[in-house]
Amino acid sequence: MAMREMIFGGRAVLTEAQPTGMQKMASVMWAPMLLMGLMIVFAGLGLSVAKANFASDYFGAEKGIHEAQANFIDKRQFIEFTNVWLPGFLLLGIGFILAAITFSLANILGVFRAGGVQIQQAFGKDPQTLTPPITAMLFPMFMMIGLMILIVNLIIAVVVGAIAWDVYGEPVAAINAAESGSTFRDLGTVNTFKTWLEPFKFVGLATILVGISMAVHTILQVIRFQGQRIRELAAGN
Amino acid sequence: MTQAVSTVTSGRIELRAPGMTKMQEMARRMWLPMFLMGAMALMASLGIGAAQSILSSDLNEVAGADRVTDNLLDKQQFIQTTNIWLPRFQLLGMGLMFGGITFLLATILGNLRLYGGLVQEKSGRKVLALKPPWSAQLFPMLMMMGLMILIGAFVVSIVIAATASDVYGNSVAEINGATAGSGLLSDLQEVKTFGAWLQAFAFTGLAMVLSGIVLALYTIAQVLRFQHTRIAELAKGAE
Repeated sequence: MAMREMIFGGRAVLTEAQPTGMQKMASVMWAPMLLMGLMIVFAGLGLSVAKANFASDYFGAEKGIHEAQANFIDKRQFIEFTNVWLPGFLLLGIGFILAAITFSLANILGVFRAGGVQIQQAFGKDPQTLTPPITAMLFPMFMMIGLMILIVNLIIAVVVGAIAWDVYGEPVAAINAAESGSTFRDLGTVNTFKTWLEPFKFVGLATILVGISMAVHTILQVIRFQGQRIRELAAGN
Repeated sequence: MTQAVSTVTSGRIELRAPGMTKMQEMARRMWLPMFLMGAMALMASLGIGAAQSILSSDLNEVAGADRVTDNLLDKQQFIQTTNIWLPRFQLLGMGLMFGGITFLLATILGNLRLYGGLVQEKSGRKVLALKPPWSAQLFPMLMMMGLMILIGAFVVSIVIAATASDVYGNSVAEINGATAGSGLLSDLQEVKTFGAWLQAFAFTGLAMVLSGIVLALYTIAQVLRFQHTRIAELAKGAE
């Protein structure tokens, strides 16, 4: 029975129609999370337009010129630097918006909890509620872990971007001719990190999505409980 | 479908009869086709990606400078053009699936309105509903704007892919040797420039569709809060 209660939730009697502390926080936090996400995505769009401007100048010149002249090397530096961290930055924005979805679901759970108590009190019965099932404890954690993965991914990408900045500050001929040593090693570092950072950010996104699935499952349990409780009220219990 | 009779108090309206709004009726029919279209686009992307990978495997058996035969140049053309439009097509597929979720949430709102009204009607009371909050007006617009951005990004990427097809129909040596003022260099510049911002543009569309979902969930929370209050009022004998 204890295991069943842990997974699906048990019953408790409440004295007042109030959401939990986390649910109250979620009812406020969804809006800043959404705004932060949108701001990040729009900033990413602005940066990519700047990058496109540099790409237009760079690829508008002949290969022999753009690979050697200092003013074109600056542009390439910016393009390669943003290529490393901009995708992670955009996905962090999407991650914040998905976190806003998680908070909105937690807000709905708070409305169910407070409203359920309000209705039972109106019927003059014991205001019972579902004790939080395990998914209710886990979904906020999954959301936070997912966001942390996306933030760590961005920090690493910015550090690797700085290394890419150094590497691509050299003319293409110098990079191609680099022997075992500093520039060649740095280029290896940039390519190695780029290879695993790509799936790493999707792990963060997937973790937030698992949290959303758990929040939806918790809502399902609450609706099931409330349906049963309404039948009990109708039967006079 | 029902029309509001009047505003009863601030934030509440009285309905002639229980029912969904026009938008909710439309959403009830549209969520499944949207979801299926999204899933089909993603499955088609998977098939095209597989074809691209087979051609890529053939192409990479030959060094860049030796890719001069028509057969190899055709493969190079296909791979490079697909690289431009396929990611946007995949994001459009995801956007359509999220659009399906938005319509599903609108259907839930419609059902809450319909069955909330039926409970009040059966108990012989006034059929009251929540006056649509600001978020209810905004979320369908956000979803549509997001989808339009995703479709726009896809259309632009198809146009750029056509230019890329002209560029990559040439050998690597010809592309590298393109001179200032030549059509080839100008086409390459166009492909690289558009490629630099199209993905972020498509992500903006996806962000808009997801924002619509957040606002739809907020609307559901508002409606549930109203309905709990209304049921408690009915239990206490309110009209």
